[in-house]
Amino acid sequence: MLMVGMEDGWIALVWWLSIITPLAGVIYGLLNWNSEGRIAKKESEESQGVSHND
Amino acid sequence: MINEAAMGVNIQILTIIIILYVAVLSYLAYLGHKATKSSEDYLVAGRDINGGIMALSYGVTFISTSAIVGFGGAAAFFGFSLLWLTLLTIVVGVIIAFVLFGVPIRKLAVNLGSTTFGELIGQRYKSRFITFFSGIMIFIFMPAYTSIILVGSARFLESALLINYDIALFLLAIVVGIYVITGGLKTVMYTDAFCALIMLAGMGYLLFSTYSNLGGVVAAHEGLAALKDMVPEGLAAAGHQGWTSMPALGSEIWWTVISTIVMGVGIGVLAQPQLVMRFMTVKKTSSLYRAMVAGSIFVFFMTGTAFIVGPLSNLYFVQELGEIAATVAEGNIDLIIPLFINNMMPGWFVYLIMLSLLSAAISTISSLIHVQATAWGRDIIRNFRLWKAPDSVNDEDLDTIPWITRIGVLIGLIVSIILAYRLPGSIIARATAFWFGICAASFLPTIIGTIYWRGSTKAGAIASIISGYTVALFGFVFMHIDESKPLGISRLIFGRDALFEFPWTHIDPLFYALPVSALVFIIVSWFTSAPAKEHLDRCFDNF
Repeated sequence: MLMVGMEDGWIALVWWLSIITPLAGVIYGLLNWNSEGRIAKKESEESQGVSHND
Repeated sequence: MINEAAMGVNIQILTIIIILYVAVLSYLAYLGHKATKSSEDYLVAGRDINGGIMALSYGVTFISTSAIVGFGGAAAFFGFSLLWLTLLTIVVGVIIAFVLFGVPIRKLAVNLGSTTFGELIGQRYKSRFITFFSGIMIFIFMPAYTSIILVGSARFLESALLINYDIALFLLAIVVGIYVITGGLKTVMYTDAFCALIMLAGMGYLLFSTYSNLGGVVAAHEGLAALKDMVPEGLAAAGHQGWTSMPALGSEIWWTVISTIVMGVGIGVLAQPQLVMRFMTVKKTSSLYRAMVAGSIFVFFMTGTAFIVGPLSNLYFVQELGEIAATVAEGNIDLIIPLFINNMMPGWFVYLIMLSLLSAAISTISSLIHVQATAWGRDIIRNFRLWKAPDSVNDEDLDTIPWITRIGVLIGLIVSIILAYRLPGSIIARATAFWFGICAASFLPTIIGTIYWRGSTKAGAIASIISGYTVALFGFVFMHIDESKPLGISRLIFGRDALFEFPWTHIDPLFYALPVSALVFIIVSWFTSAPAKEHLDRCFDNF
C-alpha cells in the first residue's frame, strides 16, 4: 500500500512526500494568515499593560 | 508511427479561443499599465500586490514551459527519481523561500528602498560594484535562460499546431516583446495570475486523467515498473534501473539527476533574481504567509504533474505503440510531453493545455525580460552614471522609465532568439540547471548573509560572488561534460572534452562552487570590517 506500486522504497517515499508537503505548506500559511495582526495586537496589549503599570 | 493528426484541433475554434485569451491578457495589461505611474510601480509593482497574486506570479515565473515540457521530458527519460525535484521546489522553492528568504528580503527592500535584485545586495553592502556585476550577469546570461524557455514553448506549438518551429519561435518573441515593452511589473503580475489559473486547470486535469487512463495510481506505477527490461542498454549501463527506481548510486545518471537536475534547480531557486524581486512587491509580511497557500498548491500541480506524467508516458507509448517515450520522440526528449498530450488527451484538452503552456511561456518570458530590462536600465546604466557622474542623476531619473530600459528589452529578446536558433535538441532541462546553478553559486551565500548576518562585509560579499561565479563557470567550461563538450573550449586548449575523469564529468559545478563561495564569504567577512552600525540599524530596522 505505502509503496503505491513503485519498485523502489525511495521513490515511493518521495511520491508520498510530494503529496504531503504542499498540504503542510497550505496549513502553515493558513496558521500564519494574520501573523502581523496578531503581533500588532500583542504589542498593543503589551503597551497598554506598560502604561497601566505606569 | 505517432498519429500527428490525432489532436483534433479545429483551427476556427482555436482562433476564437486565442482571440479571447489575448483579449483578457490585453485588458489585464491595460489595467496594469493604467496603475503604473512611477518607477516603483514599474520596477516593484508599487509594493502593494496581495499575497495571492504574488504567489501565482512567483509560481508561473518559476515554472515555465521549460519546467513542464523540458523537465517533464527529462522525467520520461530518467524516471520518477525527478520527483525529488518536486519535493525541493515545494520545500525550498516555496516554504523556505517565502518564510526564511521572502519575509526578511521584503523588510530589507522596504528599509533601503531597493527596487532590483542587484540594488538590494549593493545597497546592503554599500557597493556599486555588486549592483553593477549582478546587472551585467543578469543581462549577459539571462538571455540564454530566456532562449530555452522560448525553445520549450516553440517546440510545443510546433507539435500541437503542426506549425514550423521557426515561425512559432518568432511569433512568441514578437508577442512577448510588445507585451513587456508596453507594461511594467504590475502588468506582468496581473497577467501572471490569470495565466496561473489556466495552468492550474490544465495541469490538474492532465494529472488526474493520466492516472485514470492508465488504470489508477497503483496500476499505473506497477505497469511502469514492469517495463524495466525495456530500458535501453546504454542507459542501463549508465545506471538507469527502471522508471520506478532510483538510478544506481554514484552512476553517471545518478550524478546527473541528483547533482544537476534535483540539487541544481532545487537550491538554485533561492538565488533567482526574477523570483527574489517578487518578494519586494507585497504590501505586508503576512502577505507572504498567505502566498504560501496558493504557492504550495500551484507548484505541486506544475512540477508534480510534469514529473509524474513524464515517466508514465512510457507506459502509455508502450501500450499503444510498443516503444518507450524517448524512442517515439526520436531521441529528442523535449518532444515527449507534447507528443503524449497530443496522442492521449481528448481534443478539447489540447486547447486547454495549449493555453496553459502558452501562459507558462508568456508569463516566464515576460518576467525574465522585465528583470533583464531593469538590470540594464537600473543596475548597469543608472549605476554607471551614479559612479561616473553622480550629478547627472537627478530625482527625475528616479521617477521615469528611461527609453534605455526598453532598448534593453529589445537587445535581450534579440539575443534570446538568436541563441534559441543555435541551441541543440534536448537542451531545456540542462540549460535551466546551468542558469540556476550559476546563480546559486554566485549569489546564495551573499543573499543569506545580506539578510541574516550583520557581521558580513562588502569585501566578503564581493569575494564570494566572484569566486562562486568563477568556479562555477570554470566547472561548466572545463569539467562538466554536458557543457564542456559542446562548448569545445576545453578541447581547444587542453585537447580533451573535460579536464578530469568521472565522476567529475558528471558532478554539477554547483556542488563545489557553492561551498567555495560560502567559505570565501565567511573567511573574508571575518577578516574585514562590517558596515557602520547606523547603516546596519537602518537595514535591519523592524526585522
